Amino acid sequence: MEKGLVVPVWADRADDYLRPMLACGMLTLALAVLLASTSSLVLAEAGLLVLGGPAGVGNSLLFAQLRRSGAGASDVVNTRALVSFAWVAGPPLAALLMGAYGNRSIVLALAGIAVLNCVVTTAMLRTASRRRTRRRRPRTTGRIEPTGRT
Amino acid sequence: MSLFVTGQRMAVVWAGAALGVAAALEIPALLLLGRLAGRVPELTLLASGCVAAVVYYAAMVRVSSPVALIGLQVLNGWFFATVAGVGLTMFQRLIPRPGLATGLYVNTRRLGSVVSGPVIALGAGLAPGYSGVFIVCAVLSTVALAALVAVAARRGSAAVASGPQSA
Repeated sequence: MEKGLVVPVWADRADDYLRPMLACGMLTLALAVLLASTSSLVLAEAGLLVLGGPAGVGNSLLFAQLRRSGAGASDVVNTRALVSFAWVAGPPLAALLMGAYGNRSIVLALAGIAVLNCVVTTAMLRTASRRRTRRRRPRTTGRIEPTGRT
Repeated sequence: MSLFVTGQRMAVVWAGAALGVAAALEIPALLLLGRLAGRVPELTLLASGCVAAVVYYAAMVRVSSPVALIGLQVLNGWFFATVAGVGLTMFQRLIPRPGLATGLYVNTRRLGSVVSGPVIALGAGLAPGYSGVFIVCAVLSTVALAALVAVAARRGSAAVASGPQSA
């Protein structure tokens, strides 16, 4: 529960939600790799605690980023509807994968989603940095202002 | 839900069906709330969710057929959608730091999950067949509704008090 507050508050101070979101995606990928490579329950539990716990904050950071980027209430609620859809569709899809390709296939799916998450967040970071550069660059209109006249 | 449904002499499959229907109905309810956001005040939307919760939990105490159980999930879906959608936007509007607002909202829901354990224990001892759990939930939803009405009334009186001064 503490991580759920510490990371978003730190992101508030840094005024950057995308880089912590990227870190969450990487932690999810690391968790998938760990779960795929071990059969030890202790290691799996430690991984869920150390890697999965902080990775879960990504959801909060997404909504914080939405708010920071100036999204309105309806945009936030519509995005929340997408998250609800994922929650409803996730378990049957996971059961389908496990039934068709075995229990370990869900770890591969998890890794794929984590990679997709990282790619999307990186694209968002690039867009944000391009916007920042555009804002910093002084405006040049190309028009020569008349000078010397009173 | 499984224990309650079997206690009401229904097949356990109806517990899964009810929870699935409620979760599925949450999505169109959230999309509808997305359209209503900005047009209808947040407190009104939240109060509508509380009213739905009070009616849902009170009706669940008496439910004995699968049709009624599934039909009542419309109210459950609306209640969850208002808490999930309007609750989040309200936190973000009231707290200026987006990360803190969202983090607090998520943690508040987690705290609610922790508190639900003692609530279930308390309700299970009230009446046979776990219907007491829904009685406790109905009471808690009524308290939440009363709190919302009190906040709305205070805002209304504050607006009336500041009106002549600003004019």
